[in-house]
Amino acid sequence: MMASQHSVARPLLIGPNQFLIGYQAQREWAWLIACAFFFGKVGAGTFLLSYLIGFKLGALVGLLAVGVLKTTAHLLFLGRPARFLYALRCWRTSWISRGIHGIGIFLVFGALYLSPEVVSFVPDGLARACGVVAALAAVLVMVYDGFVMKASKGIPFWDSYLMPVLVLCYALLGGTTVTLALQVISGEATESSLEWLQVAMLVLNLVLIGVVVFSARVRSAAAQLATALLTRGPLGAVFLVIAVGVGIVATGALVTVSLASGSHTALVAGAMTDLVGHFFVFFSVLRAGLHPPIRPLALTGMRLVGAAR
Amino acid sequence: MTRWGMVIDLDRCVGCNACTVACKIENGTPPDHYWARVYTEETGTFPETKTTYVPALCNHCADAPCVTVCPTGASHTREDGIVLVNDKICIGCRACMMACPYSNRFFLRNGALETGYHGERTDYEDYKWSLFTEGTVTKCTFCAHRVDDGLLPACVVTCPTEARVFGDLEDEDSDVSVLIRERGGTQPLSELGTNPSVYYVEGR
Repeated sequence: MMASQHSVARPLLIGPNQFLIGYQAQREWAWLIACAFFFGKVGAGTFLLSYLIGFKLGALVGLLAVGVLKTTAHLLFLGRPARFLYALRCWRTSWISRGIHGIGIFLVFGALYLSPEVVSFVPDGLARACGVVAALAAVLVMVYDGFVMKASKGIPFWDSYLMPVLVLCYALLGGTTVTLALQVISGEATESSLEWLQVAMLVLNLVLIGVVVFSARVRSAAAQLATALLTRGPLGAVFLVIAVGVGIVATGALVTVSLASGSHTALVAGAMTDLVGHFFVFFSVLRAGLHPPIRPLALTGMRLVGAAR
Repeated sequence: MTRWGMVIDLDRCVGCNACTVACKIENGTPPDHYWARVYTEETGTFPETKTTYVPALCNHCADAPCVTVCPTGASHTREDGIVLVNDKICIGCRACMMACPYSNRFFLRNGALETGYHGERTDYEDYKWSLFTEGTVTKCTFCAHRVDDGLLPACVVTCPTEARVFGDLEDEDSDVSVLIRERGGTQPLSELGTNPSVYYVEGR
């Protein structure tokens, strides 16, 4: 007599204190880290692009986004925020430490670069030199988050050199849209080269998201499962609808309208949709971070249950 | 140079969780912090199924990614290979938790130690929890305080089936080295290159 075969619904994703072999979702880096990443990239990107076109208001907004919003998000997240200066110690090995050095240099030299607008005792030559240092530090602030993710060996989905590339490209896109929106709001003529850079970055970021998702599908089982989370269920809705749909498709449509008609309203609206998408891209990527099982899983009979996120 | 390590015999483990409890008693870990724990692995399809109990703890990796990413140096490796967290300089960024492929680190949230397991804190909890700092990351210490006194880790001493063996991986004649050599010990997720100091043997 043949034995009946039952496929047991064992969870692939296991929750905290559920002592089974399976994938475990990281639950620590969420809203506040997503905010810190977002403000850091957009702020540093805005500073860099505004610096390159000599738009001081944009540089100031970028500096404040990093100096106030990013640092506040980080300090709110830390378990022991009063000790944050200890994080300067391990710059030889830790990307977080390098990033904090970069933020410090960026804030000090960025403030010196902008200081002639407020005080008269800083020579213009010194301010220009400080601007160069601040711009270089801004690049580090833009990109270090990606290296922090790359260094997270416990999360195979993040452990890819595509992360710093994605982070850098999003920082450039965010910086471009915010700089253009600020030019419109402040009544200045928009920089046409930035408008075309915005279009190019939108296309590049869409391609990059595709590359990140598809490369993860062939890299490891944990990365593959992370992309399944990204494209299905509640997180899939956030990623596909808000991050990609609003952040890239809607932004692209609004930017096209803006370029075709010269509509400033469409340009500012495009900046808003881009920023919303930008935040949720990295929020989704953070939430899709999965730790691999400590032993290889026999996938027979297993399904995506227990994935309450 | 000593490098402390552990070999866990999966054929011997019966999943009694005595190690889990012994660790809790010895280290007084707060709720939800299971430095030693036992995973249940179910394989096969009914009626040909198998349950394996897989004890887990910090692997005290020789190339520990948690140490590399730590921005403060709080996560560090001792000369004898034991990986520890200095809670006096940990800032609670939790990068080590993202870097650890084995989910063997735990974040002690602010306020977590205000009440005991069952409401008001006991004298035992008062004493043990005074050794922890809220807002920092905790992990298995290989019972470094016992090892320094020449004792075995609590989980090893308490195991009723002697599934856990502790010793010096650098000593070719130690029990752990012999077990690894003769039984083909494997490291968890060895493909990641972290070189764990915990090995598993099975399939006698």
